Amino acid sequence: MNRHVTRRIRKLLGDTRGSIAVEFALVAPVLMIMLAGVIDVGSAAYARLSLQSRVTTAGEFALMADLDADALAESAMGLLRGRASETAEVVVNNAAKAKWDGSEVTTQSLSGDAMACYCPTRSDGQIEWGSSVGCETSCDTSGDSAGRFVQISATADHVSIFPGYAFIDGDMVRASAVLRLN
Amino acid sequence: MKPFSKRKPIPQRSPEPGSVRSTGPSRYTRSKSAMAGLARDESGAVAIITGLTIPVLLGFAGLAVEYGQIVGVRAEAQRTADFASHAAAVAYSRSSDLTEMTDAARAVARLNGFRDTEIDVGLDPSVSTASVAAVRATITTPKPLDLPRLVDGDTSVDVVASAVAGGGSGGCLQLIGAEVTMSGGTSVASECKSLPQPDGGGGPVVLLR
Repeated sequence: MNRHVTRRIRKLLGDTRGSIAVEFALVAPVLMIMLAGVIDVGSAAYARLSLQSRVTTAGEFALMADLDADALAESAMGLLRGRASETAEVVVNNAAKAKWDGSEVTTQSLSGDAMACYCPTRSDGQIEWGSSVGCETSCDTSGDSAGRFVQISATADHVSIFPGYAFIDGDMVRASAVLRLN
Repeated sequence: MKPFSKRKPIPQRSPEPGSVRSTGPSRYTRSKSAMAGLARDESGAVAIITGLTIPVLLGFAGLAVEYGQIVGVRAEAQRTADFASHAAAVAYSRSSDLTEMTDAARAVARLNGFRDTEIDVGLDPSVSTASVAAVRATITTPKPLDLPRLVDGDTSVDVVASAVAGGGSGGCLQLIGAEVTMSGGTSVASECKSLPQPDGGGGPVVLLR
């Protein structure tokens, strides 16, 4: 019995038929992982671009729409908001804010004045509105003319196959924009 | 269990009679026959092919990553160029001042995370609009590439996005207790809306073409 098994193993060792199949089985997982990586990156790029496109659409609407601050924030949010797990925010000239928290749109009035002008600045990706100034004055720090601005930001979920991969951090894609009204 | 002693020895070609190397295999012929044997040996071929192919496939995957990132940056740059050119056109139609026009566009670019040096603003005479000149804003931002960094340091591609905006529809003028006389081909239309004024006033609104 033992000798029989030994002989069969020895015969198998000398047999080179099917070796390509065995080698392919060794190589296939590597190729599969690379394929998964490409799919991962592709779907991340898709998630990012579709979010960018929503932000652009909402921004161009805000540019052209002739609405008061509260209505503008709410209407732009109608274009911007996404699925349940996503977040979005529209701030119109530090006066009105619409927020999508994943389940409902909430609007609130902020401390600012919709008709006033601001000199917003950007630091660490955040927009600081500062205090309102006269609309025909120029800003102290930059020398630009003050204006009315709309800030749009949104996040969308993207569950990576490989976390922390490529340009996705924290399974989330972000997009934001600031535009100047007339 | 017996050791694998039954394996046949590799047959060695005996040197031809009368050959100059008949005294025995020299070092040269031995290494030559080993090379020939290696060239004929097909075992491990898939490992070699895989080893040659995987860097190429990784390169393709890397290109896909680079392209995805560049397209994302381009979407941002295009949106910022749109908004900046609009802000610049509004500033220019209000002031007819090139400095104010440039400042307005740069401010929008800065608020969107681009640097002053990355945006170029100017009047574009090739685009005709109804009244004022069109303003073109072009954003050129470098995107560092990841693949060349693996080999020989920093390389970047310039992502370019351009947009034109013009105040083609004329401006609105709101009259608050004032009288305006218009002349020289100015026409009046009623497409403008009355804006609420802080003091509660607000007269008729006319559109100037």
